Amino acid sequence: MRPDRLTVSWLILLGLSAATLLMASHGGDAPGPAQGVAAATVLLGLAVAKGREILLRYLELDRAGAGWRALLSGYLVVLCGAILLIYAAGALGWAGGGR
Amino acid sequence: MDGSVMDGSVPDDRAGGFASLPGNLMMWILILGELAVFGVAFLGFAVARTLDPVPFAAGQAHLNGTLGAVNTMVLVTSGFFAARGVDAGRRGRTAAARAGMLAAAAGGAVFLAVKGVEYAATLGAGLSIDSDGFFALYFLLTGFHALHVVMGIVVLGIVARWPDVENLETGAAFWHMVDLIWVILYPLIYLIR
Repeated sequence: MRPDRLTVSWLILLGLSAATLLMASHGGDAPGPAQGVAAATVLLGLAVAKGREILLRYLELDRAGAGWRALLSGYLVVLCGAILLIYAAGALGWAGGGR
Repeated sequence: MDGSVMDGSVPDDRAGGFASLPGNLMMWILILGELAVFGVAFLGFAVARTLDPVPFAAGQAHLNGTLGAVNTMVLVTSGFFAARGVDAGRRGRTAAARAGMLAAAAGGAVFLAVKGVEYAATLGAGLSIDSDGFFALYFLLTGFHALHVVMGIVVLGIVARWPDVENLETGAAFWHMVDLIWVILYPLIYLIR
């Protein structure tokens, strides 16, 4: 029997969570600032992927208007993008107290 | 035949605007407000770390990232039960709808228990909300989120008691919002070094 879309979504979320943990345990102590930014990019990318799955399947935005999908997916991407930019500004010495 | 019928879910034709979202309009206004508040708080955390990275790195080293990952899996599984409950309610299977919401609430209780273990370890190491900037924000953000989990458990309990479709959708929407916030909070506070 083919699993329904909610089950598929749940399995995807579990897989993304496992990937996040794997990434954190192997890439957490990055040797340099550039690697730190790369690791942060992957971790935030995984967060966006998890968030999109929750928005589209659990919150059923896949059945709502395109405007809602754009607004809430946009929120995720803009927020995580801004967090990454702020992190990179510190890590790469553009701003803040240095690392 | 559309895709929703082919994959076995209940088809629904929704109107536009707020009516195209599941559950009660007021819940969506609350969800949008909560997402805005948490978003600003997360940006504040990121800025505070950039301005003073040393205590943030030291504080984060005390946290248990694995417990956080366990809690992510607990919450997404709990969200799955809630979504299943909504689906059952739409099919008129009230007992299954109720069971889905109660299973989701139980997941919330497991999340809080794991959070309790984490707080006990942190406080036991002598680290509290007034230790430094990192721990102040850590306790405020995770505590504020945990409070939403408590509220979510209450809401899920209420909709399990009165499981009409709108109530189920509304309760589940709140619960998924709590889940959504956690998937951003977790890497931000626990993982990004």
